[in-house]
Amino acid sequence: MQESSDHNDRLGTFIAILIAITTLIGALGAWRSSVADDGAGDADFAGLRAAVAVEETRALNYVNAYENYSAYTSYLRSSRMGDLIADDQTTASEEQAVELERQRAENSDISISNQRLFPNKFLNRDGSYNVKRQLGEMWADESRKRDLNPEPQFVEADNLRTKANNLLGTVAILAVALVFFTLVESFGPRMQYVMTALGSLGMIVGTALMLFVEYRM
Amino acid sequence: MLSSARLFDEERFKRAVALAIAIVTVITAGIAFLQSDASARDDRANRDTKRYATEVMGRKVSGDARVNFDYNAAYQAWYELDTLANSAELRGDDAAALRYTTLRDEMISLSPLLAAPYFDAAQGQPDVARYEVDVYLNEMTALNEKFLAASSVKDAWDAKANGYILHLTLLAVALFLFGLSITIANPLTRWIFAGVGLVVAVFVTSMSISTFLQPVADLRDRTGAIDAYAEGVGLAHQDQWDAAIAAYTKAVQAAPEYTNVYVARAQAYAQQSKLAEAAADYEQARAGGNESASVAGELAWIYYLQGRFTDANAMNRIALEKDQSELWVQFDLGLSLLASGQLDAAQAEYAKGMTRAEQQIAQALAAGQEAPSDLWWSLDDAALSIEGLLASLESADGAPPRDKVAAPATITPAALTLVNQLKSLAVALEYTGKPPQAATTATVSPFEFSAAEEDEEGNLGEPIVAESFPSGTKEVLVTFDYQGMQDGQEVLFKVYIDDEEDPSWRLLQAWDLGAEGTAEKPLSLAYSDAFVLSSGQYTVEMYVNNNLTQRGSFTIEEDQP
Repeated sequence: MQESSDHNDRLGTFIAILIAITTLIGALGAWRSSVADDGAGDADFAGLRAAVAVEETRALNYVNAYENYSAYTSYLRSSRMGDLIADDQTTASEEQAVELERQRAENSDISISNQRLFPNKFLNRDGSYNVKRQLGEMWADESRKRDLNPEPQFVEADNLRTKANNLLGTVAILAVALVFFTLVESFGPRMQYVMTALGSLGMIVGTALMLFVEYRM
Repeated sequence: MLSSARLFDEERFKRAVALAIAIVTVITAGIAFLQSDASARDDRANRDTKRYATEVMGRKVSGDARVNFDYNAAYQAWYELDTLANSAELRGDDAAALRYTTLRDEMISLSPLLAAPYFDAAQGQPDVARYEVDVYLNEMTALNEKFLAASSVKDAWDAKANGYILHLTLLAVALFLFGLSITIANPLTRWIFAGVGLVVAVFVTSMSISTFLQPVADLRDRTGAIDAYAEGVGLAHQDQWDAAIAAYTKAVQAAPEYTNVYVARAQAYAQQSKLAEAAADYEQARAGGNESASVAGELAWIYYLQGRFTDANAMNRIALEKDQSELWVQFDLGLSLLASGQLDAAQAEYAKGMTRAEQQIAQALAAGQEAPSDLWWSLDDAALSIEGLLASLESADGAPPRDKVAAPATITPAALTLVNQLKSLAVALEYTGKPPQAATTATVSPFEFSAAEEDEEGNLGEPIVAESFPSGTKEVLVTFDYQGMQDGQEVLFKVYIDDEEDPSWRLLQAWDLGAEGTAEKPLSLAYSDAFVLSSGQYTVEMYVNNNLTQRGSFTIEEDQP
């Protein structure tokens, strides 16, 4: 009788230790899950910030570049018209030449005033305007100042979210183990061992999976 | 013995409750996992909505900037130079014409809009719609649809996550009841606690299973559905209705629950006057969950065109229950009542719509804001729709069918009065912010239209009165007699070309021609070397003190090839 009581005391102590360890591991898992979930939120925020930066940059660059291109169009029109009039002056009558000279001068003045409204470094050798190069250069400049690539952040957010969920899954396994440990007291000697074994198995599997998720994901 | 039996019963009870607690704990752990998963999916979809919304805005601004340059700078330059070249040629200044032509052709290199497949220099008009579709409209439509799809997914997972939280809370209650039952000595009471706990646990578990089994449809996962819809929208933007319908059908095949597609396809069918197909698609969209006022209103319009006036009245009322601020639906209700011969009810609904228009203007003015453009469109469209009804009474194949319209003889005078009221109200609200204060006492004779024809040497002859003038006409004179006018009265002329107002012809002036006499108003492009009046049906309206006083129409004939 005394022997049976000692045995129960020892088993009870052992189970209590297992419950304490499992609870502690479960709490650690919940903490790591919470940290991963928080990281997912942060990564999402960073990704959205980058996405806003991308669209802001794209919109501003297009508006500015095409305003410049518009000024170039006015410049080209006046400049070329001045050239064409100058060509015609050579064959015009004296009276016409005076009128054409006035028109040529007006067009030249307009072209000069428009020339100041766009960055002429984007002019090609043939005099055309390289708006594509301007857009590319503006993008490159902005990407040195700000993050313009949201995709990696979103991928990281998704990974962290999966990790948080998987960690919570391992905590659920540990919770099942705790249930088995708790049930030990409710059964006879033979089932007590079965419950202890099942609980221990749950604890080991849950812990192993938790470590795997934490270090491999 | 009795004590031993009680002890045995209590022991068995505790074991049973312990087992129940264990099972419920496992279920709770599982639901907690599902809740976490649903919450994560909710977060992800929420992030996607924000991302898509940002991308739509950015693409629209950049696309607009691009197309604005292509049309307003590059094409405008080409067009102006082309006009100047024509003008110089007509003046006989060949050197100038050549300069303008040379420069015009150089402008083509400025933009892809001025090259094939968007532009044919011989026709002179770029296909801006096609260009917009290719530059950004398709992409923007797809992103917008993905935004809507992600919003829907977000709502679904959010509902699931919230449901699981409720289930977890109820399971905590069940666990509490189980725990309490072990501590209670009275057998009946403890069985009651355990029993209630068990019922709660079973009920909640079944609810959780039901929540878990509810599918979350994500249109983004339906391969090709959104892309086909975006393609359809792009084709519709180019008025390619057959191709648009084919694209929409492809989208529906990929995702039969995609209600936006049914609405878009219905609109395409309506453009082709395929009323039965349009009605079927609108009905499908409503059955699929799109119960918006605009869809109900558009379906009511199709019913009206089919001559199903009772259905149209009912559907217009459903639309107005959803949103009373939709003026066009209010006026459509008046129209369908008018067509069904319910004159008093029709006039009451029109009066209600006109009062709402006045209120909307008053509210906007009080807030220091402008009224939305659809208010003016609604008033114009209401008058135009009544005129359409009158026209269908004179046509064998009009819509609604003539034989379905009740008592045409009674309807016609009432309809004309309503047109007059609507047009006068629109003008008065636009210029004074208030309805017309009083009917005008002025009388104006029906308009007489005349144009002078050029002889072979280009000299203008005497004006010839007619209702139709040849292509190439540069000036039409509108002549009328008037009585009861007062100098200083506000007089407005509006000109509609093919039922659409051309604001460049609008003229507002203070009357200064005395009380009675004959007046002429020229519609003239005679000051231009290059332009003539474009072909179409012109309707001239004259408003005195914001009251429609006279209107008349003439036609400029199509250019003969």
